[in-house]
Amino acid sequence: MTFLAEFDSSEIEKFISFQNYDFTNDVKFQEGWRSISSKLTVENIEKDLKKAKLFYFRKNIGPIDPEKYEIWLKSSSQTQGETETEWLQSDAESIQNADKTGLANNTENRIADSDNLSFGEIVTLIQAGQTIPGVKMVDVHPTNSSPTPSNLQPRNKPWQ
Amino acid sequence: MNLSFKTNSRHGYSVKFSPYFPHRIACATSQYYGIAGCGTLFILDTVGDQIIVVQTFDWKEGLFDVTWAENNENIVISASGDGTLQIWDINQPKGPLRVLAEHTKEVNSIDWSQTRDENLLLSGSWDGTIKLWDIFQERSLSTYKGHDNIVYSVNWSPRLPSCFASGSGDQTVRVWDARKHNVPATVIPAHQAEILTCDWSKYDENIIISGGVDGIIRCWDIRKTGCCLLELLGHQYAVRRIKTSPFVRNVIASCSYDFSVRIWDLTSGHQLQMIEHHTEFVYGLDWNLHIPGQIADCSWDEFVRIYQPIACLPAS
Repeated sequence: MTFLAEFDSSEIEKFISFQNYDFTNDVKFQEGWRSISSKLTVENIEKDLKKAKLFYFRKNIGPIDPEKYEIWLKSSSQTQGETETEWLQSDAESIQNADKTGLANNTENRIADSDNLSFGEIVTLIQAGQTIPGVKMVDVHPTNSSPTPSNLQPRNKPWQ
Repeated sequence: MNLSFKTNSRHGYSVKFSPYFPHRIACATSQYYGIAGCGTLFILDTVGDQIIVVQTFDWKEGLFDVTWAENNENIVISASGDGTLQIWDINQPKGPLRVLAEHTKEVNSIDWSQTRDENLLLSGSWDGTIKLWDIFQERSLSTYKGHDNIVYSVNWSPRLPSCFASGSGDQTVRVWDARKHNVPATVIPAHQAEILTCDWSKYDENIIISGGVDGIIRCWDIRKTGCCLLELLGHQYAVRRIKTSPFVRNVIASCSYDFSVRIWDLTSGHQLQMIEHHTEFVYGLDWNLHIPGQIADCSWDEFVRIYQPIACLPAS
């Protein structure tokens, strides 16, 4: 689609603010990432990390279009010093460092307590065939009773 | 006025104002984004500057849409991810009066007839079919086949009896006569992307507005479908729902996966206002049928908001 190839300045600003966002020191992101990364396959871990970052950014910082971002990244990577791979590597290292410091390592407890898992976390749990914490089981059945009789005449619509 | 209500741990999918009470809305929500867990239908009233819960109904799976009956102020119907419809009475919290089970996949859209004395319900499903119901008959009255993909949206014409439109993942909007099975009167290849929503003008019986995953809104005359009348560009992501104003002929509202709600003027083709008070996909949107310019919306961010955009303040 043609509109994907064009970026206005506000979009580019968003892409840059995403790229410069300090995921390393964002405790909430790191907690969430650790809780899902242990269940991901090693081959796709870099892609998944980026997906998680985009999801987190979109949910907490502001709108960003992942498809457009990819295109922008490809078109601008030649002119930028840091490549995508380096960027991801540096991030993987920072996560390992965070692990060593023992920062927020109680992810299992967090999931058990929390009813507020992200979309990505839910998808991951479903794909892994794991039980999703906090799922409410509802057992209701039709009562077959009669409706409460209506006391009101239908109102005319504004256009009628 | 700008009121909020948090549907804790429930992600909002659809909100509808009562056709009887200006202060009442129904909101269909799902636990975990509708992909796991239960669904909850909230009946909410505006009292002063607060939104209070009148009733809540839980269902086994996520709820994706809701519509009020037009012949009984107590009846509201929800559509579920398990393919069923639930008929609820707001005074009877024990369970639904009836459950209509025929669709083989998620029901994404339901709509109660807007033309007097028809009192029939439509449902559109991921199974690609549309069904016509009398809610107190166990089996559907008709099944409409033709779409090659998910039916995301079904909408009765507010002016033409037995006429309805549907929007589908097969990239078409179709216009149907409910009395004729499986023969869409008109097929409009409206977008080069999945169509998630359509709505009729409430003042011109020939005008339909469609919105798609391409982020584009288009206006169509159902008598001349070769090219669209108007294209509205602005949404950065899929347009999830469009609602034409019940009070002002040329005004529509739209909500999107870009987290925004936008108000548009069809005469000029301009965006009148953008409202950014959500932090997630905005799924549900409706105009108050009694208070000119008032809107309710709901989002995956768990907030329902009721407000009056500046662009919609009635001229004094």
